[in-house]
Amino acid sequence: MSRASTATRKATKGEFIETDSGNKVWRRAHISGAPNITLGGKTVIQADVQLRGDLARVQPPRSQGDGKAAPVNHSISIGRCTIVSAGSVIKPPHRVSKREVDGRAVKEVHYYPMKISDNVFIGPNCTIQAANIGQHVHIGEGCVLQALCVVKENVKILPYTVVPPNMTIPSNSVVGGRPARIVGELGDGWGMTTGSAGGDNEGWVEGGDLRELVRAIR
Amino acid sequence: MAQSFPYTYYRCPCVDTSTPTSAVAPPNLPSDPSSAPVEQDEEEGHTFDPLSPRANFSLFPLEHLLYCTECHEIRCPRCTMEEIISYYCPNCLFEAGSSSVKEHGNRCIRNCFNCPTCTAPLSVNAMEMERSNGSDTGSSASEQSHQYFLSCPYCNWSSLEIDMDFKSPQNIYHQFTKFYRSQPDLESKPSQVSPTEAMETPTQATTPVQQPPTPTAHPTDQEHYARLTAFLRTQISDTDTNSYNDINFSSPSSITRLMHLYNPSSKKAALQKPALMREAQKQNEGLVVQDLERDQKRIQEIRFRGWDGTISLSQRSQQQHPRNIHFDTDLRPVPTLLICKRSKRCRTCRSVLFRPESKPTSTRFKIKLLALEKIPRLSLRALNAATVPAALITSVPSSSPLITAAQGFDYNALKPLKPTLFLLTLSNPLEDPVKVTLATPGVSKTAAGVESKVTILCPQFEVGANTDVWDEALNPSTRDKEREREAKRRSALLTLSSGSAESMAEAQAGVRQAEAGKIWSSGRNWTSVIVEVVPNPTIDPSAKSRSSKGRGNEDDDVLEIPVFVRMEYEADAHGDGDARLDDSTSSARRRGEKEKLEEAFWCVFGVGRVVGL
Ligand SMILES: [Zn+2]
Ligand SMILES: [Zn+2]
Ligand SMILES: [Zn+2]
Ligand SMILES: [Zn+2]
Repeated sequence: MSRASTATRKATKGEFIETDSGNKVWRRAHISGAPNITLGGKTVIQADVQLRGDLARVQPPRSQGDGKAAPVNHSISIGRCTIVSAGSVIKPPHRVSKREVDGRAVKEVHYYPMKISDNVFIGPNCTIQAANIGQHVHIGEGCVLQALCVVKENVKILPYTVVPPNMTIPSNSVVGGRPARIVGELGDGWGMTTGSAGGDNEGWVEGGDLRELVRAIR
Repeated sequence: MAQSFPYTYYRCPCVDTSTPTSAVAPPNLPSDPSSAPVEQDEEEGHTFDPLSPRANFSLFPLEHLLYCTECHEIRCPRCTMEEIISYYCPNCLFEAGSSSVKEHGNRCIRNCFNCPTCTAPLSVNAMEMERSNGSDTGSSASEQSHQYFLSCPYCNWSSLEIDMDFKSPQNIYHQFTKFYRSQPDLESKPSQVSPTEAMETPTQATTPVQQPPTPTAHPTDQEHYARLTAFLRTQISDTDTNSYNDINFSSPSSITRLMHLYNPSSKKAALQKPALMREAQKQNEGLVVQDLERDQKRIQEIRFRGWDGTISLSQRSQQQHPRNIHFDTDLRPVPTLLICKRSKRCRTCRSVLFRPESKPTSTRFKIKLLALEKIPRLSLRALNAATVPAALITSVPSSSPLITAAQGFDYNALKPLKPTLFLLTLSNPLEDPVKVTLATPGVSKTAAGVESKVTILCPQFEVGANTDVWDEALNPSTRDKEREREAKRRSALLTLSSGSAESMAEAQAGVRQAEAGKIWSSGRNWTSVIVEVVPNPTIDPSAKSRSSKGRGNEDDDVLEIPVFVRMEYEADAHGDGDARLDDSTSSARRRGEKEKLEEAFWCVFGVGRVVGL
């Protein structure tokens, strides 16, 4: 795991910077709050992506209930071989709560940490506010994952889907629509390639190991 | 589901067994798929037409197909049987026992509900006045007596709209069902004198054993069901002279007893005429009488409330008890439907092809026989397109030659009369090298009738074995050489295609001469060949009439190319293909060290859309 902030150390010529752990971060990506962001290695952050690491929890919660929150200052963690395509916004999920301060109801916004696992493909122009995205998830173009939804591993989200807040998407499902609902099931061979391949062969499939694709992005 | 171009579908042969043609022809023996079906297909000129209405039901993406190692055939959802292993809630991911499923009708009995207007999962909220964090179940531990309600975070529907609230954030389903039962049907107001009382016929002498206490004119579904079951139970016990309800269908004596019913010549059956069961005739027997007055009221209400007050068909069908639901105020939260994990068996030999672990959160499996481990993966793409998905390319204004080259190709606009070269790559999952023969009908039509000439420049080739993954990776020199060679080819081709029409045709000819009968490139377990596609604006009249029947189909211009793939390989007799040893035809080969095996199937490439002239 390497912090995104260390990315700037090793600058190569070109549109993106490749870190020691193989992350490819476009120069034109907008990353705020970099110390709060971890990238797992061989992960691609493309141009015009917004990573809102600055939206971290400021203080530990006063109220009971969210006791098992992740350590402070890790607002976005992204796994290995995950691709965030251009124009997507990755923003930690939040919840608005009301609290009584001096006899007055005050609205407070809480940010929660977000975890995106390995081999996740996030299509262009998505807005991601999920609490958790499992491995081998393929998210199509223009999707909106609203606050605190949970996407389990092996899921395909069709383009332009809006996943409502708090929704859990179970494994092996295909979801689509606004709001999202389960519209189908993945094949039993989801994400499996026929051996490793090189040259002209694709070497990767939707939901599969994205290492080859990450390598192909130049 | 819309697939982006280009795609590959594989055809499961199980459709053949139900077609009339195969009923006429000698049936293909399932035990010997190696030789018979292939030759038949070719001899009869029986090519697969992806436009036929039947084709839809036999084409699948490779990852959806299983492979039966006993039958040596592809298995699709149609030729597999499913068995439910476990039920679980898609929202809270808790497994539901089968007894609970029986009782509650495969609904989540925890706190999961879906919005009745938009289907999003509802969240449990506390009323605003109290001090709380207004969040999920259990997160609020305030001592005050809370009122809770369900609300939709997506469309802002709230259960308060139908005056439904809960005392505790736990066990919502239980409170919900209680609420449902206690709430009488909205229409059954006491003032309404039931017009149906008069219609009641005097009862026959049957006295129901268990009757629900107070029969109202408009029972809830549960009441209705309870009455009807009670009534039918008494009917069965009263009229039951032959006791058909305890028939064991597997015993031959019961079957003969049943057959007597249908056999008029049988004296016994004629003698024993069973007393007939009668229909429910009273409301406490479960009869529901049409209430015209209420219907009138409903119609007036529709007029009064207008379009906004009524509900859509899908909203209504989503309701748990859709009877008598017409207005948005009738909508109730929908307890989340359970989903299930299933195992799959081959329909022919009943062997298990797929068995997942029963735990809802687990994605592991105990048995998984995938077609993609036995059937080569075929993929098609434009020669000058990159392997990076289009979504990524458009977003990357990169100077990389790989990416700029790919930007030029649009699968949604195949130009007529212009030869387009595609790269067909076949990768071999087997541990033995295979000999592949490809065949295509030569002319493929779109549904709109645009014919395209399809030529596979090298229809016969070999593909290496899927042996050591590291061989290629550890040997970068050969790999680089290959890349270089290929890049040269590609650039040559690009410059050629940018020339004038004549020179281009020349160039194409030149390319064809150079490439005919030769593979384009290959690697450890894959080989690529060139496919030339020339969309021809000649409209086939029969196709046009066919498409005009189903007018306005947006996929009329999609070009799909059927390709017949036949592969031969030699496997160790005791290795991969040993399951076929019991096959009598191969018994001669058994003694030899190697066994010749064959696999053949149709697949369909969705190439793209042909644009007009
Ligand atoms: Zn089948
Ligand atoms: Zn549930
Ligand atoms: Zn809603
Ligand atoms: Zn079988």
